[in-house]
Amino acid sequence: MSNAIPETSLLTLADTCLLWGHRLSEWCGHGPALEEDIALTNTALDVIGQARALLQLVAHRRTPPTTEDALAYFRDPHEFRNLSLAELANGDYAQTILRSFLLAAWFVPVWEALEKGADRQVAAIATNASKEARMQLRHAHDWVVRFGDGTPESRRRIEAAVASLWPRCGELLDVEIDGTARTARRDAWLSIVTTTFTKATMTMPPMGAASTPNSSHPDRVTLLTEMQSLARQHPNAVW
Amino acid sequence: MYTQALDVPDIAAQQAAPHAHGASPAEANFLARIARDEKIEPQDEMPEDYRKSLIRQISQHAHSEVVGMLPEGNWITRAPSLKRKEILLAKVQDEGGHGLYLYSAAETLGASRDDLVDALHSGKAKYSSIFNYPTDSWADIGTIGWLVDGAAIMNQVPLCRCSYGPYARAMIRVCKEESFHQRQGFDIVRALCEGTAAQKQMAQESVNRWWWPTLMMFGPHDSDSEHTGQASAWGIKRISNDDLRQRFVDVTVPQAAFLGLTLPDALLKWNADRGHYDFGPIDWNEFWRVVKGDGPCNAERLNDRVQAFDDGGWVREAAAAHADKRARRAVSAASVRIAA
Repeated sequence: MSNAIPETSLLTLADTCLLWGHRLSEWCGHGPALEEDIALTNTALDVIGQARALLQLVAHRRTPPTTEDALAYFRDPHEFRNLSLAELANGDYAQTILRSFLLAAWFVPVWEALEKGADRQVAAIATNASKEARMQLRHAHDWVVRFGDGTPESRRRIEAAVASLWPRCGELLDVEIDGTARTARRDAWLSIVTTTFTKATMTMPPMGAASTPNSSHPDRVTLLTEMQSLARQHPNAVW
Repeated sequence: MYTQALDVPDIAAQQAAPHAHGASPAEANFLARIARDEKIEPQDEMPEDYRKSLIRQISQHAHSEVVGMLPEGNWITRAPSLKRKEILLAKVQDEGGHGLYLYSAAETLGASRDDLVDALHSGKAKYSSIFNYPTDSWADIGTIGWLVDGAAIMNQVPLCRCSYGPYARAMIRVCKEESFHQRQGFDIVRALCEGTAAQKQMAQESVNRWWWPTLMMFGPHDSDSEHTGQASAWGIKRISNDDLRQRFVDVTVPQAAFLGLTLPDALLKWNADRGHYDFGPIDWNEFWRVVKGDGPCNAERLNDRVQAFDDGGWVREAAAAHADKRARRAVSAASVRIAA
């Protein structure tokens, strides 16, 4: 298919969604309030669903075809192409929420561009995903504002989260995703983040050069070791 | 999921329970409404003991849903396929949703959710003991859905007709979702039984561990469950513990046979005269041990809940502080407009 988005871009999107969803799923049953537990799990379900749709597409397009589970459970850590922000351990609720906010702000313009793109199979996934991403963005935005403009403790925590995650944001802006325009995506992300930080009465740090993530990706390795453990113990099993 | 702890005798409530023969006109009117199968609504007059008993039952039920998220949540990150991961995540989320409806139903009786949660965290309130057992293998996720949710449905369907309107209506939705949970559990076990020898062994080992604790979920024998009498008179409990347990055994034995699994009870046998399966004696010592806090995971479960709540304290405080600031700013903006 000549209009097909290359697999490398699809895997960046799919792996980012999968690892982010996995991290969010770790909160299930441990959220700060029952309503938040349910809301966070909604985001986890949305992004794992997006990952599945994309991995199924990649699996179908491969020669010979493979399966979503082969891609999720039997690739090694170095084969994953996710944005490093997605794989990081959760930290506290401020860091979890800020990560969701930064990623959702990135995904909204990505999905909106792909929705209008020539790869119609990807566009079909993006149409649904962009609605979900807007919802995720609204939820995370509300909490960033509450934390920034809440108590001294919440302010301290959200600022610590910004300090910790901000160095990973350069990668968001620099990564190439076929079917999207990097400059437009960058402008959209900066505009969303600036607006939210202003409402949260916080100062946005300067955007430095993209830091090079630790090439051994320790958090990704830990995450995948757990996620893939049972499937790899029974490589021939059907579940 | 439902809780056998609801039928655990509560001495204080027993002593306070009203007796129809000495009923005041208001109580007599209430009991007549129950007899006519009318729904009691939050604004209606009701005996104080009925209200207290419902708060206790509904809140224990809510606690069971929320604590019940933990044993299955244990396998979300290790679910062996993306489809199973998504389904399990949605299922555990449903349990949280059930907790939310049920806390809301309890609030219609004048209870505060904060007080109810405090009672759970201090160990004063009970939750279903089934969640004090560990989930050692993936097969346990299937077994919990198939057997534990199956038992929960047996217990809960009659509650859709209970006398208190908000509880009955909450249970209609809960039961629909539990029915899905039961089927997804059965489907996990079916896949294991149709899979490799190791998978089938995993399923059998899990059923061996969960069978007896599941039968205990229906609570003490009718002869030992004094609470049941009052709950029946109030139209809260419709079917006795032993009858529900027998129904569950009768339904489940053919399902196990279909899967090719054995149930760990040498005395389990069809009794043509009774038209039911006979089954062996339940180890009530184990039941009481777990109810009283000495089960394999009691401390871990409660600790996880308390830690999640404590860790989230600053989040809830931030939300309240921000809402407060916004309200004050809105008032101040309105004053400026009026002054202008």
